[in-house]
Amino acid sequence: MKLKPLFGLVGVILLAVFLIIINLPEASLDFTFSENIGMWQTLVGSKFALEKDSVKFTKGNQQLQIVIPEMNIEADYYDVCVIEGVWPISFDQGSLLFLSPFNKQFDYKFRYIFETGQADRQNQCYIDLTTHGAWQSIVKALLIIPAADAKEVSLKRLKLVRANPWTKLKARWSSFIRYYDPLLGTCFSMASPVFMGKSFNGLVVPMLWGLLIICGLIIIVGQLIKINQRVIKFVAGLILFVVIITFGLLDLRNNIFYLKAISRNISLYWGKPIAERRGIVVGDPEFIDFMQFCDDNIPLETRLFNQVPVDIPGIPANYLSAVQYCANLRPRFYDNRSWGEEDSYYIFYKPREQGSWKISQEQSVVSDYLELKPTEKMQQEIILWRSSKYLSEVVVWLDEGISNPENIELLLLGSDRKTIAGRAKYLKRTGKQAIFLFSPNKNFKKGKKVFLQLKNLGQVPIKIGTVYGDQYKEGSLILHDEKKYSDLSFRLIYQPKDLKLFKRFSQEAFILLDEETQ
Amino acid sequence: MIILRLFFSLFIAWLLGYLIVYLFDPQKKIPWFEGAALSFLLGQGVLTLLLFLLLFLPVANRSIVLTGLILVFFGAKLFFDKNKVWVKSSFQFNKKGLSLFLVLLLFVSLTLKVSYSFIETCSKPEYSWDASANWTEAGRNYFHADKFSNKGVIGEMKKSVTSYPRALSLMHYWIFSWLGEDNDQWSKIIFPLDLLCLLIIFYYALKPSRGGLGALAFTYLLCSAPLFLYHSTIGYADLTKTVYFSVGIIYFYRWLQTKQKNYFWFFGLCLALTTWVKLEGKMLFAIGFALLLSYLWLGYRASLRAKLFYVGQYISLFLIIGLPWQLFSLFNHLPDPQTKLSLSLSLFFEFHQKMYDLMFMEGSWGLFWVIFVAGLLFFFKRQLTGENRYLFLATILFYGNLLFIYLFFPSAVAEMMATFNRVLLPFYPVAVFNLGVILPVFESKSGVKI
Repeated sequence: MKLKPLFGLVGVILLAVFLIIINLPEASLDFTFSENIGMWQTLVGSKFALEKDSVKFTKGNQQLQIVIPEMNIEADYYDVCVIEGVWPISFDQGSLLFLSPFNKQFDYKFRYIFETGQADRQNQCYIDLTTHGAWQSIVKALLIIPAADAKEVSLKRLKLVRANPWTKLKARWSSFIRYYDPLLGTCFSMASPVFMGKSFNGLVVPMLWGLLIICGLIIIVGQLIKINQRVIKFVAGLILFVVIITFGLLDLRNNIFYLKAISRNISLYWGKPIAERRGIVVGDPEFIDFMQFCDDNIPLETRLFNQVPVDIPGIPANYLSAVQYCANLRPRFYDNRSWGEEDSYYIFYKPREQGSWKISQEQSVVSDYLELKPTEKMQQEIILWRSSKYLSEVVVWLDEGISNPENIELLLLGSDRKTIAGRAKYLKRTGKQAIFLFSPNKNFKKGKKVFLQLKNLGQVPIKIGTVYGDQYKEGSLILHDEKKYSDLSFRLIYQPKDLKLFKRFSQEAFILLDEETQ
Repeated sequence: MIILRLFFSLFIAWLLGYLIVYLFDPQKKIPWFEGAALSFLLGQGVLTLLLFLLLFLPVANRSIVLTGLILVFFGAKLFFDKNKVWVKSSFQFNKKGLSLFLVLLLFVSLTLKVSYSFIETCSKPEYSWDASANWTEAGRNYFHADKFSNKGVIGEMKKSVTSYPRALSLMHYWIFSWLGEDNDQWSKIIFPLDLLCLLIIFYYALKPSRGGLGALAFTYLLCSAPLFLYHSTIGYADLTKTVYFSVGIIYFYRWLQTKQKNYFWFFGLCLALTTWVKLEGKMLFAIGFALLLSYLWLGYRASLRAKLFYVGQYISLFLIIGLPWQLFSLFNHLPDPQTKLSLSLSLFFEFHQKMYDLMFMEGSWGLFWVIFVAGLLFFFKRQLTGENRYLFLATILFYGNLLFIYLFFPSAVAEMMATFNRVLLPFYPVAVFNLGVILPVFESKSGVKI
């Protein structure tokens, strides 16, 4: 039998099927921004201007957001959304949020993320609406955050489509090859790409295991009862083919991702000074400018105290505080390491509480919980950043559940681990944080080594948050007269009276000088 | 101008490496491209070590002094070298039909991946956690301490912790010194360069057995894991450690395969350098040591004295390369995690469950590990034959290393999400190489050999 005509026939049939699929009818709901002025709103501060057939939105002080309040979409009917517009930065990240029967307000949990395509050209961003479980019944309103980095965007239309298979495929392919900037945690683990709303590995790996088991069984059975070698070769070849196709698909996606990354890097970073690039990549340009301000103004050979909080909204925990702080300053003495006679400066950035100069001394990362049995006590060695008379609050982390902070006796002891410098009384609990009010009865000067003692006065064990010690450790944690590998997670809050404003960068960013060392 | 300065700083590192490669391979038996790639890797490691040792001498302008010394040695080498011809590198492929098409396809895709690595790295300054707050920051501090701080670089170095030897920070410092500014956007280029060097060495190591196209295909496979490629862009020490470890294991294999002594030296040097990059490298060095001992015991037919000589040479490389940092941290009481070993067998199943998820399901390289497991199972006879069995032993030893880390340190399993992929990273190129040597060579009638 001649195979070539057969292949030709199969090819023609496939082409015909393909042409039919892409031409299947589909219904859509078009929302054109330029023709529906008044039907959408932006946040105060954002500007917009009508262009030829689109609307150009310009970001103000806040994030650029466009709300379409009265949509009332029959969500079950539409399965793809297409957003059309022009973005100035390649492969930016946009979000589409929706009000479903499950949420009364816009919430990031109810959103789709889309990629904006190449810069400065009319792009169509496809979103597969079926990937979110809450997209059902009546969706009342939509909120578009058109870009994460771009300051201006031209939007033409938003289209909701009851899609034919071809459009669905385009939407699914878009989510499979969607570009996203590497996140801080990417160095730990890079997630599998998403295909049809599910992890690609989750779909493919079990299938491959199944195929391999079948292959293995055939080989074993083939050894026992002599199966024709051609059968074994055919099965092995088939499995190899599946592996190559799967691997090829994944690698194609990766290569597209790399091309996009190159395009985005050129579009976002090239041609800018390094300080500006640093601001973009860190996600808070103001912080980078402030660090430069600190570096320029604070003399060298001085001691710096980091008062940048670890929980700045929008920034991953401790990123600015622990990672980008020292990395943006020339070397000085930091925190409590090797105390000397240097002048001390306190660097504040977006402080938790406005209008007060509270100094926070903390190692607040919690990596585990240590059990403190009834009548047991643990002692954490600490070097005081300020005199203990200024100490106002002590915070420790407790495991939620049975741990009752009222059963904790909290004392500040001298270096002999006997002299009591003060005791803290339980005030309140915020999540896992237990806050104690401190009352001093003896003053220890700053730089003095002291011990924070926690004793369980209750009848049940208490689980207390600890951090695995490394270079950030303040001192040793002692339990049963034995030094532990981990350290107590704590925060000491001082309200010192001997600090003065040294330089102010902005309302939320300033430097204090310790007058005691002057 | 900054590019020229950068190029010069890297060139001097390469030149030093070239001298080292020449020292151990005077007959120039390895191909030129491979030698050039290895030169950069060894040059980078040894240069930073020399820079470290130079800190203890009352020498100003260390970068210039070191450069001068390297140039003098290079001049002497040119003057006395009678064997100037290096083995020519060849990229000979079947230049017809499907074979040529596949070569072009693989080459273009590989170029794209490597270009991504370079562009992603050098488009933005350092931003990731440890890279910013540890490796680059320290390099930056050394650069500024040279100018401003009265305690100098040594004073800054005392702020380190024992587990992070300063090879990478000193490499940043070296580049900053030549750039004249602390430009971490450019100094990061060492990581994609490390990757490129690994790819070249990997290719030449597989080429004798698989041919050009086959070697290129497996080099491509090596580059296809997104996490691995991404690590070449972020400035973490794990990539450099991975490169030294895997190059070391590849040269160990080449040594057994060819019995050429130069490969033994490159194996020993690379594994000793892992201890200068990160203290975890000591475990990797120990894996190399176990491989060496097993070969000397099982496969090397010579006198006990000759065997001990190899052991002595291997250990002496650690004493020269790894020990200075250990002594520095010891004498300066650098902070060291007070780690208490305690075996937690109860974590055995939890560890393996998490390991499965992180290797196969949650990460971006699950497909590769499935292929690796399938390769081990279906070709176990080839795996246990000849030199291949030492690669199998390396797999077992690395697994033992994982068990040790995660069962003996109480916190490790809880933190697996943040650590496991990075701990596994050094084994990944070895696993790809292992597949490259155990999978049968496919040769079609039309001459396509892969």
